[in-house]
Amino acid sequence: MSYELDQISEELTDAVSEAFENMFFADIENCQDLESIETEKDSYLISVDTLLPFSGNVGLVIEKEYSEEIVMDMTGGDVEEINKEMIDDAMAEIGNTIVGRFLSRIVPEDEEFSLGFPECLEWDSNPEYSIKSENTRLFSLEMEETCVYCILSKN
Amino acid sequence: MNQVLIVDDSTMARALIKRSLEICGFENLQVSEAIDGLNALEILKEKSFDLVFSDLDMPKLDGEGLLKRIKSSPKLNHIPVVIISSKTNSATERKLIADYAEAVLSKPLSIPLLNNVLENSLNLEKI
Repeated sequence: MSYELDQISEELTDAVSEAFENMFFADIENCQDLESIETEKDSYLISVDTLLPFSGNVGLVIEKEYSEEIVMDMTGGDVEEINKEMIDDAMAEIGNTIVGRFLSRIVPEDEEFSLGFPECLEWDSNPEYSIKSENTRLFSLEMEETCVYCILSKN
Repeated sequence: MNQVLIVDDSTMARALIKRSLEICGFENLQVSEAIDGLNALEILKEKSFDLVFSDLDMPKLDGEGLLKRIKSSPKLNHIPVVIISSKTNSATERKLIADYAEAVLSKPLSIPLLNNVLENSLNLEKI
């Protein structure tokens, strides 16, 4: 079975929408294909490798300010001070959930899928992954007060 | 009071499950937490529980191992174990159910499905 980026992209954006709706009750209002990611805001890159059924990577670019809101939301506001460890943990949980859901959507029933460990990195607009190319697709998913960028790439 | 144990190595994942249980709106639900399967077994020795929610991938003892240990223990095998994971396919689900998991839920958690699991596993009333 082939996993062409253009054929599986919608499954990824659907997985992102499903995760944000179920985890944070945040509706994705608009989803667009992008030629490049250009954000001035300080952001994190959640990076998760896809190992099976195809070798590639999913990246999620989330504003730092929004990542703190996510931690507050996950904990029901029950924290005095948000630290980087909490943010890393929350971003890893989001990355795992989204990429797991994405891969489970694209593999035939009973077929295995596998993903790597999620990493929460500082976002910098490295052209290698912030510009659309033969092996990279980019999307913006707009919510009421923020925008999440999504990168799907194949090795 | 129904005692529920949430087992996950991620603090945020445990917080999310706890929040989802609150959203379900059942009364008489007291939640405890464990950071992996071994920690869960220690807690299960000390206190009586009515339901366990466990992640699959964890250090020391994973969710599948925990399920097997609970179901092979005469003292614990009456406790329903619900597996919550982002990495399950149909074959894994069938294997876990064959190992006597009460249910297998995918992440992100669906509140209606969680509601069903709680209603089927515990004797609960809505607030």
